[in-house]
Amino acid sequence: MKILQHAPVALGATLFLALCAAALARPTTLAAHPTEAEAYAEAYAEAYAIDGTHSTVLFKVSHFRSSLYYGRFNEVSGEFTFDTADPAASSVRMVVRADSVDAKVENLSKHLRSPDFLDATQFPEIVFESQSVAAGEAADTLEVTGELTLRGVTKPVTVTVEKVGEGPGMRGARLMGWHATFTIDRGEFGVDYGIERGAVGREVELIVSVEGHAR
Amino acid sequence: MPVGAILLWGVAAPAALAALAWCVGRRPWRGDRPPPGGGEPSVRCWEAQAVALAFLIGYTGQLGPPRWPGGEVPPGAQDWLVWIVLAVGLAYARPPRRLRALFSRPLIAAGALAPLLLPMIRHHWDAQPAIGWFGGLWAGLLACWWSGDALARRAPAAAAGVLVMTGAALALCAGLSGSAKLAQAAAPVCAALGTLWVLDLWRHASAPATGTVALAVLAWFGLGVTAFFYSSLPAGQALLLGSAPLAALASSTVVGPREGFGATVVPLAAAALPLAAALFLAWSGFEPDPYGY
Repeated sequence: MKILQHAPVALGATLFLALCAAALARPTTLAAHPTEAEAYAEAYAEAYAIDGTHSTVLFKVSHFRSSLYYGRFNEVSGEFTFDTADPAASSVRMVVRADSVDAKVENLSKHLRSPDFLDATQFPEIVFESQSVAAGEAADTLEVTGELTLRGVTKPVTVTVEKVGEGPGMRGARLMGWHATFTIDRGEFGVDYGIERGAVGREVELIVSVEGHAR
Repeated sequence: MPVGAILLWGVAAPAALAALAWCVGRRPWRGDRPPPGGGEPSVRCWEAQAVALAFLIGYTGQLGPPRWPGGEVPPGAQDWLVWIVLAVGLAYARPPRRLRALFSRPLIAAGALAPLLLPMIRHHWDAQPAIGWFGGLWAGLLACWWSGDALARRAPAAAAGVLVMTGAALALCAGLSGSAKLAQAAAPVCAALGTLWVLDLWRHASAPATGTVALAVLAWFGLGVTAFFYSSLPAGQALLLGSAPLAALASSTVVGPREGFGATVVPLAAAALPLAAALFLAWSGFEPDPYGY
């Protein structure tokens, strides 16, 4: 009976010893710290969700060959991955709602959404999807080649993107920001209204600033 | 596009084409008397086909050729509409007996609305709203066809006029509510119909040729649907525009005289009321930018 009285103590001691033995027997990788390079690569090879609130897509186009007009798109989403060890493994997919075009004046915004320009109801999404990524010539830059789909037309585009920075956000989430400027020929995408008269330029410069939250 | 080119392709060329078709069919140089009570002569008329071709030529001249599926730039509803009107116009040329059933109105209405509503079905609607909108518009198109045909029988000299007025009002409303392209697309059909109307009035051969009313109704209904769903034509204005042929028919049936000047003027005046209301709403809702867009 005395043996039975000491059984819980014996069981607890046995369990404790077993756990200690298991911990000692685990591979040494847990005990050893990773090298700095490993930690760097591990930290950056991850996916980010594009933060629509802190990302911006602006467009710049000439108006009657006299001035430069700026407008914006208000709804941006998508995701990207970034791998510092192997930039070619990075990727991006960005979606802009065509009907979120904002030209400051509502009548002009409506005109831009209409079939005259973006035809936003029939072609609701403007999508950029990378096909290949390579390290850029300058530091912290990437050459991203991908397909831009606008008004239902898909064309190859190569964009130089520059890393703006990185760091913890409000709640400790890892943030990373990228910036790019590139020019498209809107006529190639079937958005040809006003080109002939020069009322609205053929070439449209897109200024894209993206903030990503690590998933 | 320069104003001269717009006038050439949007007005002059379609009007010339319609006039040519009218001359070929009506042969005014022979001094033929129009059929008793107006209407089509015994020879073949190509007026509906001229309206359809005028739409294609006017659209192409002003806005470029309408896009075709499989091309680099996918077609929008406005592109589809040009092809649909052309196909229906050709079908009206001389439909073989076997094809009569195929080209019956309910099937044409369904076939015409399907590509126009495809982007809404693909991107914006679930099954229930898609069925509801499709069914409602299908019935609406058939009702507009019916009222146009009934008006052409009852007040033949007024029918084309009502359609010209409706098209002109639609073009203005579409332009004021956000799409100059849709306004330009309506212009050649308006010009062709207007030319036929004036020439018919001149020769007292007042009834539009076979298919002309149906084609014009289809063009306006399709442009109205396109402007409503894909541009910013407000629902109230769309309903007022669509009610014009019904108002004309109702006035002709209820209060209008059967013959004489009044038989033409009363339906035109009745149609003008909802059209004027639509234009008033469009103009009052338009805020002109002092610097232009």
